[in-house]
Amino acid sequence: MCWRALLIGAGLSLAGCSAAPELLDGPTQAIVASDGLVYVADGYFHARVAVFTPDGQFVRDWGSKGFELGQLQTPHGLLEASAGVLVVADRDNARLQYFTTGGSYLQSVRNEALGRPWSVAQAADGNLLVADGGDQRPDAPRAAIVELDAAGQVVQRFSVFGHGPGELDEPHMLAVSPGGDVFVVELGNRRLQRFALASGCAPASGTCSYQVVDGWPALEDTPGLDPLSIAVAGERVYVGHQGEPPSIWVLEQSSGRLQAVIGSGAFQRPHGLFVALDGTLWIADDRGNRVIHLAADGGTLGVLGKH
Amino acid sequence: MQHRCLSALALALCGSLTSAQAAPPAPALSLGLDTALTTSPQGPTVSTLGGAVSIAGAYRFAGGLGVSLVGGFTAVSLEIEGQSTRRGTYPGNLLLGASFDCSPLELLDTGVSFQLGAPLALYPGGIDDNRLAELAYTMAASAEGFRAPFLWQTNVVPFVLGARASFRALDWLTLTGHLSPAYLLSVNQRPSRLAVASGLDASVTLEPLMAHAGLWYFASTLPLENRQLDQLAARLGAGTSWQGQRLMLDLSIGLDAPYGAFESAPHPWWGLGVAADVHFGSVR
Repeated sequence: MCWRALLIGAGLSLAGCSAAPELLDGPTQAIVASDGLVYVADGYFHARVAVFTPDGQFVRDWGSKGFELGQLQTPHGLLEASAGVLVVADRDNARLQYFTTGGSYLQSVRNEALGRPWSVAQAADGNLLVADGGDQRPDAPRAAIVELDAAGQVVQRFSVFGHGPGELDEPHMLAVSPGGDVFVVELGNRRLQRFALASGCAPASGTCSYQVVDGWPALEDTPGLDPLSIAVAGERVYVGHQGEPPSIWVLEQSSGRLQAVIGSGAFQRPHGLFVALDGTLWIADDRGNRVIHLAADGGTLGVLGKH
Repeated sequence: MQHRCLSALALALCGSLTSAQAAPPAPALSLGLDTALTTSPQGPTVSTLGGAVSIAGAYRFAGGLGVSLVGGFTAVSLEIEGQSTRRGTYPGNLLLGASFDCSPLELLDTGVSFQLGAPLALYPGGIDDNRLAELAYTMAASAEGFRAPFLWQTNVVPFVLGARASFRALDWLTLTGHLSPAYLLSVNQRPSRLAVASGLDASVTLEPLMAHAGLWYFASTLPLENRQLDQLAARLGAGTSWQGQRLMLDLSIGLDAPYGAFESAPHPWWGLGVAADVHFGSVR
């Protein structure tokens, strides 16, 4: 509708006209789905999922801002639960929403036991692990990790709001290791915690309880770590550090020892982190309004959503 | 600086023409009340009811200089199927203004103004509260037909320039144009931005009856591809006018894509309201 600029004869309205669809505004998470395309939860100020080829070509987008089923209010986390099915942590609507990769709405899960999903990950048995980050109300703090089965039924909640070991304050992002351990980044406590499956538990056998792993990560190795995002791949845990300089800290999963710091200066704020099957990293840079593609050694491979 | 230039331009224009063509404006006090009610947006599982009230006071000194104060509040009720109803009331920005009016020609009234806003339209904090406030402010701006959008811009300090010209084409027909570029200084992590509001309005007055129709346009420079933040609105009204006192019933309708939080709404937004203006002193 840029013809409306003629109404007032000012360049201001040109800027108000729709911008290019490849531009992102506060992207929160980017993943590579089984079709090889990159799906971006976009995000804090858009309310959509934007789809790109890995080399940065915009493909399509879907989703709109609102309260209706299928609409989004701050898509804060993203997961491909099965081939062609995406789960969106629709944070401000306090629900998980399921879509096809083409954007067709499938179903929604919203209930008191689920709380408010900030992040979603998947265990090896197909169950979903969701971070209930609370409502950002100081008078009613709440936090937990919620496990759902493949049908979206809540299996269990574990952990509570607090500042002690095993407690959570604004769990922002989470990841699950192939062995079933849950790694959580907390904004409120500015720390990283690992919850391990109780000994003797096999996820396939049913509900397993989780226990925090004391002494993980190795604090002597991670002074000043200000974690925001997390991903697990093999023996490595990748942590998005939002302090100076913004970077990715690579920890050894078993020991929690720092192995490397990569990507310094490649992004402004690593809000979301994803490791693809080829070992490369996709970083949703919500301050830079871009998605950064990094090699395993931290070299920049590409940028999505660049102006 | 831009305001000073506009004022200087207006003063020069008025100074060169006023003495010969028309008497300068006399002192006057005016009070205005503007209300709007809307149920937009509605959807299969969402029902809303929103309202906005704005109150304006202005005093014009002898010679055309004036001061003004505009404020307001908005209220919203949001029902989502399967959830409890959420309600909230939120203040609009408080706009303190200075203006200069003059009549360079017998049939032409002009004015320039500058408004500085106190940023009262802020998100309250909690996630649900923020989303409800966002909806309320969006409803308020649109239901009023974007006549006063800077009251409802969130998390910013508005610096608003204004220019207005009214031409009495016929004894009973007046054409008015408004243009208000603004700089919206952000008070949160969002970028500061430019915005513009403009309008063209034609009014017919056969005292004591009055009717008007106009187009209003609002745009901001936020680079939001997926949210429509420029809008074209129509506003129609009818009522009574006598010696500058007015009581009007106004209907505002969105003419293009749904605005902001109304994305994918099946129908254009609308607003219905009552506006009243009372003047004490000289009226031109």
